[in-house]
Amino acid sequence: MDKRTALVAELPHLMRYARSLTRDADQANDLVQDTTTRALSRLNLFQAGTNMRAWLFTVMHNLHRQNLRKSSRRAAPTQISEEIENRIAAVDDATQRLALRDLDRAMAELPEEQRQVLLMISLEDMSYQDTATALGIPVGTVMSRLARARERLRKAVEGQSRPQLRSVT
Amino acid sequence: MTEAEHLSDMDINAYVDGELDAQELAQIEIWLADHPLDAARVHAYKLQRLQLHMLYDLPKDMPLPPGVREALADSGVRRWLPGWRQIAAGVMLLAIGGAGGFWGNNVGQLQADPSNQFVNRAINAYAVYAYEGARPVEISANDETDYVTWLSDRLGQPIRTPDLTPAGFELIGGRLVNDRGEPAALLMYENDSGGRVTLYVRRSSGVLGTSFKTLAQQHKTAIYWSDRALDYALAGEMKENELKIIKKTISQAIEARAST
Repeated sequence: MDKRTALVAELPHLMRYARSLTRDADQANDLVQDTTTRALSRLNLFQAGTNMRAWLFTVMHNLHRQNLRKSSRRAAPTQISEEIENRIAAVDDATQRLALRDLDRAMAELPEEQRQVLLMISLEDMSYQDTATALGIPVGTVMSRLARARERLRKAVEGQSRPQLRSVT
Repeated sequence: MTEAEHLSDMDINAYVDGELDAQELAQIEIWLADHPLDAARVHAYKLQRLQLHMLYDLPKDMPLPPGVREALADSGVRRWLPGWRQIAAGVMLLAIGGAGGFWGNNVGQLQADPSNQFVNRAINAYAVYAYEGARPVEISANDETDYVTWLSDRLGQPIRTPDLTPAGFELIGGRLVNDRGEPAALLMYENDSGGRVTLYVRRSSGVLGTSFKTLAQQHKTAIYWSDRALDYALAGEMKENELKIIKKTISQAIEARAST
């Protein structure tokens, strides 16, 4: 697989992550577009055999950080988006629906630095080391942010989501 | 581990995320069988993973946003990049061949337009464009032609881009800018860590010498020179060691031309 193909294969991960990070489809699309443009222009700097996803996330986070410095950037909205509400509404179990809403709200309220770590690891299956590289922080910091994020979410959802887990991979 | 009442956060998370080796994994599993509170946390975290997917997974058939598709289609950058060195080399030969233009002009002593003004404009152009995160260069979506050649045509003279790869900088693109009503070219270099320097090029006003000079302005540095046809100013926030290599590279390029 050449580098460009490898990059394209990672785009769904970038999209999912950018959306759950910014909680805004337009902002997420802009971020992924900018990341794609920059990554393509620097593809010759990507070392074959290293982790394409981790590299792309590094590029994306540099851009995201630059956006943060611009005053124009909007904070991630805390309310649930229509798209996600529809997804939740399609779940059969009422208790599960409540838990999902609580979880989304708790995600919105997490400090962004914790949300980043949690999403990269829980949603995008990145290793602790790759997450640390992408964010430019030590692995120990990744682990402590992850632990704090998970506990906060667990407490937020507690009581709502006691139902048995049917399928966990 | 066996002496503690509970598993540490680190152990539980590492277990949930598959960060443990086989031996550690087996130990934790034995422990969890006897410790329901820890097992409940593991269960909660695994459920969290599943729920995050339920919340945020995108439909499999979701199309890429138009902007991303454009970025992929816009292989102008890719097509242009690899060949630039050959083109630059060709352009250089061409310029040296037409030596009348290169050494022939008897450039007299300068009047107005002090070089400082030119260099200031170059530094300003750097400040405007190099911090532009995602759109530092202007390249049309279906740009088949080489950008350096295109810009050279606008200036009516071949632009000779110094090869800054020894300092870790690669040329990533360029744009046409306005230099007091005259066309000028701004070429952008970028290094591995996203650091940028810009090369500002305009038709020679005859005020610059052919050996380079430098000007520091706060954190920014400009290195400027002329090949008699065009004036060049390389600007950026260069680190000490980068600056040293860049100066050496430029001085070698200038010498190489002079001795041809």
